[in-house]
Amino acid sequence: MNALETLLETTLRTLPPVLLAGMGGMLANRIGILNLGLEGMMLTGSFVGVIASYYTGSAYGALLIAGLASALVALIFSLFTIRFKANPTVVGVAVNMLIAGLSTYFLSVLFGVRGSFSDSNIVGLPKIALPGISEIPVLRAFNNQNLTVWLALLFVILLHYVFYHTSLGLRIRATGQFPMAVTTAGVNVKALQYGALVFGGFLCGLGGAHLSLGQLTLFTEDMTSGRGFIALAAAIFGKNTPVGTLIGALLFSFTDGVTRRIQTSGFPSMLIDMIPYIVTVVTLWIVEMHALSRRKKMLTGRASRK
Amino acid sequence: MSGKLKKALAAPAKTLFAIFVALVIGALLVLPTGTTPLEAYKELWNGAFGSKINILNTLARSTPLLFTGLAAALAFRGGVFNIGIEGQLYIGAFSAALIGIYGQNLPPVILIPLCILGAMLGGLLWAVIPGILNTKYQINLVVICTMMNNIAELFTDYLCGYPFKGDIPTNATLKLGENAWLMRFDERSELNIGFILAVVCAVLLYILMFKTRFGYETRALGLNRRFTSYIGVNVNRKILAVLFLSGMIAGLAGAEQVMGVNHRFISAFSSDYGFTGITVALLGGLNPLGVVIGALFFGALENGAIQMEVMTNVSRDLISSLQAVIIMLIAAEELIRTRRGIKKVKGAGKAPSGRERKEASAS
Repeated sequence: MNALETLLETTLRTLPPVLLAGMGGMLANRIGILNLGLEGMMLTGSFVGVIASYYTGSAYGALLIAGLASALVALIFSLFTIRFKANPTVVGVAVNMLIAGLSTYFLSVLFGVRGSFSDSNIVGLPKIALPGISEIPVLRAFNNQNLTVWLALLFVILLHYVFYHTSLGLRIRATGQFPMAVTTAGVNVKALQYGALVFGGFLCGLGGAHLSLGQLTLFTEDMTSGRGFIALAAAIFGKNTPVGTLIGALLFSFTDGVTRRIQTSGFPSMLIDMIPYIVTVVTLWIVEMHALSRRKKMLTGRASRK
Repeated sequence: MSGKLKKALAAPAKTLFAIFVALVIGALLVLPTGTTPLEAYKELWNGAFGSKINILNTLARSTPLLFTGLAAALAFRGGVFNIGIEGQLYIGAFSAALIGIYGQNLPPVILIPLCILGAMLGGLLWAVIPGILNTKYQINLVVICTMMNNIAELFTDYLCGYPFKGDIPTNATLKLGENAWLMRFDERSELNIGFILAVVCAVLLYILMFKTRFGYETRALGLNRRFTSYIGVNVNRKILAVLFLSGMIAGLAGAEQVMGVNHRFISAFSSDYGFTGITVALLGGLNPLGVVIGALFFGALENGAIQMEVMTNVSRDLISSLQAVIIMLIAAEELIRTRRGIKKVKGAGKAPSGRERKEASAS
C-alpha cells in the first residue's frame, strides 16, 4: 500500500466513533434537543463493550450490549430533559461526569485496577477480509476493516433514506423547525424525541465499542477524550444532514490519522495531540463564519430589493 | 407559612433531597465492594472531620472548589455555560507560576498581587476565543470550551515538559520564589491564606450579583435573553463580560494551587476542579454564599474519600459519580422553578416550544 492508501485506511479505521456519535448528535439537533452527553454515551459503549466482551467472549454480542447500554443512558438523558424539563446543557454535562465516574469506579470494583484495563479474555472485533479487493488500488483500504466501519457507513445511507424518503423523516426534520406544526398534524412529538435520542445513544454506544474493541482491546479512563464533542462538531459541520455529517467525520478522522502518523516524528507528543482539537475549533469557526456572511448577504439582498 | 418563606425554604429542601438521593445511590454502589455503606460513610466522615488536621485539610480541599464554584455560579446565573473553567484554571495557574519564578526577587507585597493578577489575566485570555466564537458566530459554547480545556491541559503539559521544565523528573516547572508563596496556617496542612481570599471573593461576588446593576442584568440574561435585550442591554457584550469575569475567577483557583499548595506548576494537577465547581455552584443555588457551603460540602466529601479509600476498599472515584447525580436532580428541579417564574410574568400558561428551548440551550 502506498502512503495515500495507508492514510485512507487509518481514516476509515478511526471513522466510526465520530461518525456514529455524530449521527446521534445530528438526530438530537433535528428534534430540537441539544445532546451534549454524546461523550458520556460513547464512553458507556467503550466501557460496557470491554466488560461484556470479557465476560461473554463474544465480540459481536459485546457490541450489541454496548449499544443497548448507551441507549439506556440516552433514555435517562431524555427523561431528564423531556419529562423533567431539565436544561439539556446541564444534563449533558452531568451525563458525561456520571459515566466518567462510574466507569473508573467499576473498573476498581470489578477488576481492582485504576486507569486502564486490558486482559487476554477481551475479544476484539474481528477484521473483515474482502476476497479479491486487496489487488485493487485505493479500494483495498476497505479491506480488513471492522464491522463497525461498515455499520457506520450503512447507517449514513439508512438515515439519509429515512430523512428524505419517508414520512418519519419528514416528521423528524419538521420537529426541530416547528414542533407545534408536527403536533397539530397528530404526531406524538415527545415519542419522536425519545426515539431519536435513544437511537442516537445506541449509535454512540457502537462508536464507543469500536474504540475499545475495534482499534484496541482495552479500556482506559476517559478514552473517548473529547470525541463526543468532535462528533457534535461534525454534525454541525454537516448542517445536520447524514451525508454532511459523514464528510465532517471524515475530515476529523483524517486529521486523527495524520496526527497519528506524525506522532513518531520526535516532535513533543502533546503538541501533536492538540491538533484534532484545534482543527475542530477552526473548522467550526470557518463554517459558522461562512454561514454568517451568507445570512448577511441574504439580508442586504432583500433590503436592496425594497 | 407565607408564600415568600415557603419559597425560601423550598430550594434548600430540594438540594437536601438531591444530596440524600445521591448518598443512597452511593450506598448501593458501595455494596458490591463488600464494605457496608455505613462503614464507608463513617470513614468518609472521619476523614473529613476526624481531627484538627483533617478539618484543615477539608478546608484546603474546598479552596479551589470555592473559586471554581464561584466562576461557575456567576456564568450559569447568566445562562453562559462556561464549561471551560478547567482550561482557564490551567492557564491562570501557569501564568502565576511564571511570574512567581521569574519575579522571585520582588518583595511579597508586589509579587503576590502580581501573580494573582497574572492568573486572572491568564484565565480571561483563555475565555476570549470561546467568547468571541460564541457571541459572534453562535458556535456552541460547551463544544468550544471542551476543546479549549483539552488544548490547555496539553499545552501546559508541553510548556512545563519542554521550555519551562524544572528540576524534578515529572513534567513541572521550577519552584516559585518563596516571596510568591501564600502563607499557611499549619505546617501539617496545605490550607493557606487563599481560603480567606476565596471567602472574600464570595462576598464580593454576592454583592456584585445581587446589589448592583451588573448583577441584575446578569440574572436577567440567565432568565430570558430576549427580554434582556428589550430592557436595553447589549446581550453579546453582557455574555462576554460574564464569561471573562468567570474566567478570571477560574484563574484564581489555579493561582491558589500553584502559590499555596504545590509551589510549582505540575502538569495535569487539577483533579477536575473545574467540573466539580459546576456541581458546587448548582448545589449552592447559583448564589455565591451558597457556593461557600457547597464547596465546604464537596471539600469534605473529597477529603474524606481519601481516608475512605485507604481504610476500606471503596475507591474515591465513587464521589464523582455522586456529583453527577446531584447535578441532574438539581437541574431537574431548577427548570421547574424557572418555568413557573416565566409563566407568572407572561400571564399565559404556554409551555416553551422545542424551538425556544433550543434557543435557550444554544449557548
